[in-house]
Amino acid sequence: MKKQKQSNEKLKHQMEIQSMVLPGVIFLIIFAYLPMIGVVTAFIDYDPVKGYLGSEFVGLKYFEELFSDWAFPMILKNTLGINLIGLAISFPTTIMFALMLNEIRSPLFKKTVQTVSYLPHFVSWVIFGGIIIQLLSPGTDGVINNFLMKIGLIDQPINFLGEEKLFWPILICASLIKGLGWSAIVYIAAIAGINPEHYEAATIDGAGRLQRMWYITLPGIAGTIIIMLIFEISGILNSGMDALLVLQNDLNYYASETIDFYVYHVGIGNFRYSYATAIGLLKSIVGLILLLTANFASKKLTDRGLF
Amino acid sequence: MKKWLHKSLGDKTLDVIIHLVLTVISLVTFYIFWYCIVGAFSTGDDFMNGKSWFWPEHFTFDNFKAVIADSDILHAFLISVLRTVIGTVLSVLFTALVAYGMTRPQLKYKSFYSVFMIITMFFSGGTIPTFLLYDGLGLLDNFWVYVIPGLFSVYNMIIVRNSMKEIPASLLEAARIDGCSEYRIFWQIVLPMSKSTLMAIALFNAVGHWNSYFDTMMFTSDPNLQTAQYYLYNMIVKADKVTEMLNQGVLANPDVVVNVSSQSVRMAAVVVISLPILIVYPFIQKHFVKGVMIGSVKE
Repeated sequence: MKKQKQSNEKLKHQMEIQSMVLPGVIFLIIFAYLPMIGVVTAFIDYDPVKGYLGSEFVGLKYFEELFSDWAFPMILKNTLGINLIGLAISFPTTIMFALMLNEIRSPLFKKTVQTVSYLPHFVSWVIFGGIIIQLLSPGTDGVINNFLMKIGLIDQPINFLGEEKLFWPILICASLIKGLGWSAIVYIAAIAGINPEHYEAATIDGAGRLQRMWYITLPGIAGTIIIMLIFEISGILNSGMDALLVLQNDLNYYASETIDFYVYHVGIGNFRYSYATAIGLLKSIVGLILLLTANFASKKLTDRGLF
Repeated sequence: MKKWLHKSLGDKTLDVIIHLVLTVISLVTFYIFWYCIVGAFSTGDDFMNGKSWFWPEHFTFDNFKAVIADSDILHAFLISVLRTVIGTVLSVLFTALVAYGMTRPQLKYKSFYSVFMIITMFFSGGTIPTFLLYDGLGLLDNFWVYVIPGLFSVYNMIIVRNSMKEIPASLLEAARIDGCSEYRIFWQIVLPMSKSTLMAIALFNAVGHWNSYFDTMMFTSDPNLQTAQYYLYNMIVKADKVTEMLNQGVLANPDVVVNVSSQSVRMAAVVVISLPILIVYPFIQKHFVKGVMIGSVKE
């Protein structure tokens, strides 16, 4: 009798805690797993009226279409160009920024630099991009053009955002300023975790600051650097839509249209759901392969990885 | 001073270079925001002719008056406040509840749930299947499209779960023996004790809500659902949007409009819409340490 009561009690308790977790599971089934099943859209001629079951199966038709699409070389070039050059510049800069910040002894100076450099991360791209557009304005109000003309570097104002070849540098620079401080936090945290005895020992051995940075700090945060690099590599085909939407215009279109943006334009703009899904799916698969490869390479070379 | 003398010449040079570089970076970043504030307080003419770079040549509030006179922007502001408050509160509570359930040692299928949740961090269906799903669920052109898809975050759940594991098990056990239900324990003990982690997550969540505009663009077309950021986006990207807004303003407030230009009004709108972020920024900074822990949790 007592045992019966106890097991009832247990069942009740189990149901109680299940009822806490299950809403989360159901949420993910709907909002994460259903869209994963939804990638079948790429293999059918999806017609919203006929639905998933009524639409005709077309196999790899839309994947083949991508490779003969005139825009494909352009979006691939823009995506890889912006991301690879951006990574090559911002990745080392961020680490250097963290290293430099770590060398600052005055708490006030450090706090000021941090407060200012973290701020752009917390304002939206609409706001940040809006100010950048204003700064780069080709009219009489454009600070950058006025400045460049005053110091005699140019005679005519440049329409910065209207020049195709200037789009990548502008986007990369703006993204760097916006993210620099915030992206450095993870390295600053890693540096804080280095055993101070290493530094003391090095100082006694007569190591200068640069040497301590090179021989202690950098190896001390190597694990973090590798993890961040794996993340960056796996995301090399993604683009920050928030930034592109603000900075893209008709004049720089050929330099600013990336894979993600194209998916949005083709899918939501032109209602070509199946084609856009196919592009997105291919992108996700390549991204996943990149993640696994980067992780595997890192495990082999440095014994460190995500999983 | 003495310490400075003891440093080697190389170290001193390095020190100077580092201070110089960081000062330049900070000044450049600061100027971007300063320039916007100056523009917002400048007369339209001064700003347009490049006379107000560091300080407004003629100080005025008219740009702000023009912004506030626009009823559409106020409505958009309200939508943003609503989505931020409702979205953040519900998401934090929901995520915390699941997280607490996941800390219970008696929970059956726990490792299955764990894997099931973590998989979603690495795979996603992509833009279009998500769009079609929202269409099917009736979320398009619906205010709840701002709230429901963000209700639960696996990433946040893991952070909250890890902080909840720090709560002494004896405390929770004692409450259970006293006959408290798990929901009551969650509400009266666990939630208050995870306050600082939940606060940190709520802040980041709120900033995300406030700043997002792509969802407005993608999932809504009803002007009544415009968020403040989306409104600003249109002001920046579509040149005639500001003119239209000013033309409406002429009728209501003729002496304000003389003093403004579309550029200076834009800057004023930027200032108004960033204001909530600037207000919570000091609190966000206080929680940076937590944010950093978030990073180390993942690794």
